Amino acid sequence: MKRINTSILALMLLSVTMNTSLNAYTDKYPIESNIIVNQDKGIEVKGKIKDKNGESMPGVSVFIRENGSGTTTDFDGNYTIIAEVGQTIEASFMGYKTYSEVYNGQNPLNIILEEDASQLDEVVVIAYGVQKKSDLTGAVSSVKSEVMEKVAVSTPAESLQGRIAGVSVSSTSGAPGASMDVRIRGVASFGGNTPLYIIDGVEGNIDYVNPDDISSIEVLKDASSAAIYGSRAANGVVLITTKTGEVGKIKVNFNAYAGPQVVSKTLPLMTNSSDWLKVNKAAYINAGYDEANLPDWHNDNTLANTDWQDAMYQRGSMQNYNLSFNGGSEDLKFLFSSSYFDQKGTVIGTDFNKYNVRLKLDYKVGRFTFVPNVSVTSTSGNEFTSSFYSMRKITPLVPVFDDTRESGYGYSDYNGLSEDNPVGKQELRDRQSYKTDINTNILISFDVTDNLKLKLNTGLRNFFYHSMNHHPSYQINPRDVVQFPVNDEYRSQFTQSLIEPMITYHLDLSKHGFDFLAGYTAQSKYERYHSVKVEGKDSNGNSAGFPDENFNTIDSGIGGVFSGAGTEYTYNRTSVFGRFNYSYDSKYLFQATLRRDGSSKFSSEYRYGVFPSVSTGWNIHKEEFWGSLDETLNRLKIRGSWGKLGSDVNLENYFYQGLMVAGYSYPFGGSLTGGMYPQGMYINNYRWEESIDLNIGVDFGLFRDKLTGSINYYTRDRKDILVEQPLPYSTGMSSQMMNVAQMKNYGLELELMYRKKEGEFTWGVTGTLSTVNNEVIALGEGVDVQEGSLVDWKMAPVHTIVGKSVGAFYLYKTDGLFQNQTEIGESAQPDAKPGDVKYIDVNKDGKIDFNDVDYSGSALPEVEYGISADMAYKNFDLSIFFNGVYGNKIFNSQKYYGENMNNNTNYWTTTLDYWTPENTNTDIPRPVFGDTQNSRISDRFLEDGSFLRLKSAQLGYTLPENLVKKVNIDRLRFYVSGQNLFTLTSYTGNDPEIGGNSIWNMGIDWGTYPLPRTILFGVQLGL
Amino acid sequence: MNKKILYIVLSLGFLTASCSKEFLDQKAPDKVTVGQYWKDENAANQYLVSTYATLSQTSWRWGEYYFTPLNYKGDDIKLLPGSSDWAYLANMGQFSYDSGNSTIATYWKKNYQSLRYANDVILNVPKIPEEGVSDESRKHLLGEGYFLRALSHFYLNINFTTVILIDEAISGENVFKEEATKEKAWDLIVSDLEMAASLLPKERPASESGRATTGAALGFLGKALLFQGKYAEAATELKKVIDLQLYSLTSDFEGMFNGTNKNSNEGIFEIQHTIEESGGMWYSASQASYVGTAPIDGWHMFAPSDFLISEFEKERTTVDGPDKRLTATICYNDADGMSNIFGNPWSSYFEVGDEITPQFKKFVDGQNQTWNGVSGCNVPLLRYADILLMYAESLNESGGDNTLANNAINDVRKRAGLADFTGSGSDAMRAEIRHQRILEFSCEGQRFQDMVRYGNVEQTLRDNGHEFVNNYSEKCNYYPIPAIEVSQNPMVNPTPGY
Repeated sequence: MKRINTSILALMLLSVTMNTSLNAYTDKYPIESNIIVNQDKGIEVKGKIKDKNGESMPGVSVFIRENGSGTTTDFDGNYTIIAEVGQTIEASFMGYKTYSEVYNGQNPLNIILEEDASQLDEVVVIAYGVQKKSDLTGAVSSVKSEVMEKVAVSTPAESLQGRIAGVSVSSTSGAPGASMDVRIRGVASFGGNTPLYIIDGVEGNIDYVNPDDISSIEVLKDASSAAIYGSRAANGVVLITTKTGEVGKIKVNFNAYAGPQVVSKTLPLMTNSSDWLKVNKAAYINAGYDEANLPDWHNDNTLANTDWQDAMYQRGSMQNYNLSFNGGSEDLKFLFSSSYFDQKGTVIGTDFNKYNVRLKLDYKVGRFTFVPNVSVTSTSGNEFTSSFYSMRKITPLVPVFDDTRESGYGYSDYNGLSEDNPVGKQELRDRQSYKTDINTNILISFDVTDNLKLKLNTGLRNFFYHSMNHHPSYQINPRDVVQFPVNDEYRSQFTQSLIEPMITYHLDLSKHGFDFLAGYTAQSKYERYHSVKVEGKDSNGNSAGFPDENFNTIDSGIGGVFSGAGTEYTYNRTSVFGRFNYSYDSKYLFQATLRRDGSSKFSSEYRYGVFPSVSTGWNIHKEEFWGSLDETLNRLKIRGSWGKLGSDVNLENYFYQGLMVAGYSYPFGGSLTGGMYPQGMYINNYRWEESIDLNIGVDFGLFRDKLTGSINYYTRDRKDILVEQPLPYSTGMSSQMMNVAQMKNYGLELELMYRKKEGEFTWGVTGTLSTVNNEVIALGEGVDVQEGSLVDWKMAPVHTIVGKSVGAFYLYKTDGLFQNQTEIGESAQPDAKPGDVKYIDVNKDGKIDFNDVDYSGSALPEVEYGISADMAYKNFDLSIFFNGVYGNKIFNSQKYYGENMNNNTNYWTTTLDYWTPENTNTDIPRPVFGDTQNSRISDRFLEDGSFLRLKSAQLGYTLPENLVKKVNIDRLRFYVSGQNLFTLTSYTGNDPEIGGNSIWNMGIDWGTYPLPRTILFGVQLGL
Repeated sequence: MNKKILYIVLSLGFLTASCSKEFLDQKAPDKVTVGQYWKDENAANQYLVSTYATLSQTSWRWGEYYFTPLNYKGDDIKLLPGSSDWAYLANMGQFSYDSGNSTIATYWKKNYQSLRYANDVILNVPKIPEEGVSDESRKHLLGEGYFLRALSHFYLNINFTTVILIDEAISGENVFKEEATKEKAWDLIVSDLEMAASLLPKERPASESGRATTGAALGFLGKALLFQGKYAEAATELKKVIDLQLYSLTSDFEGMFNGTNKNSNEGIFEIQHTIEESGGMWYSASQASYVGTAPIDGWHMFAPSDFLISEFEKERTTVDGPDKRLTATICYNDADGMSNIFGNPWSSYFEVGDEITPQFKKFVDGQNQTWNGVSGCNVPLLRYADILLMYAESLNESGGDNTLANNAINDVRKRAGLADFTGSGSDAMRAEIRHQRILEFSCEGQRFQDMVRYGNVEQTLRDNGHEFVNNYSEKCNYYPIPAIEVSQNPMVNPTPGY
């Protein structure tokens, strides 16, 4: 409840700050116009442009279509332009319908611009169609291309970040080509939480859509909007609609940007030997070693001073070129686009590039419309093959390069300092991957009558993946020798086909509006892969094959040991679905949907699931009684929805059938014989994960829609979640995947948009804010807690507990350091020494053990938010976008390794401030080699994960239209843009946006490819 | 025109809808289902491979999950400092384990995995169609199912306070089963072994060594009866093993444990191991590094107890040498200077000034002759020496034929190089049999279970100088039902005292 209050408070604050003076201008000085006839060049037409309320409109562009000459209205809305009778005069302004009339000689020509209703009452894409936003009864949020253009992104998912309340987008890694982690309304399952992506009506992968091709992205958040996708929709649905050609002359758009990328923040790892030796020596002395018996490296004067992060990181870069043509007639419209994206990573040896081509036609012939849409994306990249773990563990004592080593890379001769040289690892091990995505779909519609339409949607998607791994034999570590070269190659093909006939019927009976939709879907997914590996050794363990260890084909290993693997799966689904919409006078709205899905993942008894939804809405502002309220609150809609969604993504194909697998072998008579055993217990009642969603929402517009917004409150109860149910060992198994878990999410979402123009200055602010609350209701019979992965083989910091939210941290709690023996005497740690970490004896049993591990915080943020501001003054525009989270905790395992000082790996520079009797005002304990106490998995390493980030800022300048028109350019804009420019956070790791964890391990920063800071210079050219 | 389109769309819809059943019935491309599996003898054989494989472990797991729970409590071994690095292992030897001990839980689970598969064999072998298997083979396969089911129940019953009997195939409907009394467990074990003995072949070709035979079933049957104190019945069954005339004592005692004398005439049932790799895993008793002492870079986990060495040193051979089994079992700084391993004197592994400490040789690979890595030694679970000593014991305890008992003991003594047993009276014979069992079976997972069988464990531990006798109490005779079983199985109660 406290969280809801917080959100309401924030909403009120936002509204107050935005509710500035609304009266802009009054028309005090009307100017009389005269007729002046210019015999050569036509008439000097003068006039005034006002909006429908009679307010003058400055900054409106007025131009003659035929010759492109133009002007803009002055502060009082006046303009002067030379026009001939018969030419077309156009006047346009953002947010208003373009005036376009053939000039008939009238002078003065006063023009009234009408607000563009389609912008205020925009049309949004919904499942299997479009709908006016005012008619929506579900929770649908939309991001349009104009917004997306303000952030240069390499993957469209990134442009959703912070834009939509309830949609949480975070980077999984800063590696080139890495995809984003998108979660709609929190995590609802223990397996995949990825939403369903529908690209132009066909399921696809958002990473393979060119951001420049996108017209809009809609997110279907609640059941009423998503339930028609039934069992695929439980994690929410993202609809991506690509642009279509526009009627008129062929338009050419060229967009390009390029710029450098750097690692925005490094870890405070030590970079010189003397610092490291100081702490290391103290650790040995504190562990009881004599000064004379310190490890040999304390007497070595040949040590290096390596900054390993500096050695691993480089200045990266990003560039993108996009060229598109579109145009056509009413009958045939086309869009062709092609793009090239290239990125050099911020870690040595990593890069990524992507080509994309799309052709989309819209061909009308009679009552038929054909929309074929083909997109081909091809990527390749050199991947990260080293280890960030090694990077932060290897000490500055080791040189990066060493000519005396066969590999050329430095490593220590001391066994105690055995860590892979991360630079050597990256440079010696190659991993290239190639992906090709060919997505084709054709939508055919046939208008039987104006109201009855038939549609057939067909899609075919092929995805090819190919990766190659190679490394020679090498040594980059005193202990381990990689004895033999290896080539390892993997190929897969994924094919998805879809056929989807639909019928729609629309009927208007005076004020009653009816819409019907019915359809059928058959979808098939097929994947086949194989991999081959050859190692340059024979069966006796001697070198074989590889006449040259740098050869990287499979044949180069002939003579060596080969191994291979490969299989395939087919995953089919069929569905029937329908939707009914009713509206009365656009006041009372009602919608019902129903979908019945069948999936090949289930046995015939459990194969089909039925997923209904109902929703309703009331446009209160359309009621008579609203009356004068219209002046301030001009728009108010309340809506509610209920629905059921499903998921089968977490079940493996064929699993329900109870498969026999090979695995064990046993040497009867001395020679191994292969055995077969059942994969698990045979239970064929696997079924859909089901979620019941409730949504209550309010949409409003204030002051003639200058301030618009939506508030949604939702609950999502998901049951029958597939999870490994622990079994009694007496069954001979430890667990089995079963539909036994249950989870609940609820939260509040707020979206606000404010737009205003003051003279030539227009600006707008958009804010989103969301809260997600999660509760685990059940984890399976007899299971109250599931622990996540161990850190340092010791303890799992994250527990998933029935009755609590996922991502709960359970840690030893600390209470500073012991300063003296008296404090120790009073504590539960009699063996401690001054300078050791003091732990809280939570259960007060006089000792510190596992029972003292206690709840220490949550990995789930209390609030996620985004604020974007757009401003335009004359030809300049500026967009700034902040996003952030508040109230979450992160277990910083990087800091754990850097500050536990119990071994011979690298330390953080913060450890130089370790406790000594002379340096007691510190929170760094005394270092102790081999320590097991100070290095407990404790809240010492748990940090506040809140952050506020300037995610992007873009400053643009558009050349004046009358200038560029002369060289036949429609639009020419230059911009400079920055991403991840700064982050306000107290988090000490690389980045508080850690991403990439499973639900069981949320909030643990294992250390990953850091997110870069990017500066881009761009140009957008329209011809 | 309009109608045509409508028809096309509708028929398309119906077409796809009508083939929807097949469309959604997808079969795995390269795996058969449990329902399709049991079609012939080969399938049953491959299933049995997995069942036998549950007796084994890969690489280091052997030492941790099998050797430790069976041996650490015995007074024939003593813990070394290496064990304290793994407190959950040392706890067993220190009688300080609790029901949450992960190794005990794993040992428990491994046995139930075997039971799960064995029950599947018993259920499904009779259902294999006639054309898939001969009557003879069907009998043998079924016999193996019963034998393996009895084997796991046997080991559970002698090592745990109570057991859960699994006598049917596990499915989603019967996940939770309750505990059974030891008596009920013995009844099932005995009847399964009787069944197995009647079904199994007496002999198998060398290529099948490791698979159960009549002798193995009868031998374990005798052992099960012995554990129940049913000596006369035990004697009858054990005599049947002797009467098979298939087994004898091998002269290469050491080879039975170091991989050079696998499946000898003495081995009645041995867990099979090989150094061959299978999918990156080695099914082996990787014991060398486990027992290895510090100077040879072993883990220094445990060593022969002083008591065991003193037992060995009690009697010398007819030619005044050490008991032949001593130098085959233990390397130590012996008075005769005969201790050796891999052909080298034991003392040669130590540097001047080092204290030469004893270690076991059993399960240190003699083929590879290395301390590290894998070892392909078999683990004899039942060998003829055991049959003879159990037979002698059964006769002695049931007032049976004294001469036969004497002969059995003397066979064992003769192989060790000892003169015939001269003692008289059943007490003397009992003492001699117990003494011989210590010398024969040290480090083979028999000693502590024998002690429990004999009774008065605490006094024995104290007499024999067990370091942790003060931690011992009666409840330590058996392991408790693992906590994880208790928490996951509503039908099971915690073992009293845990």
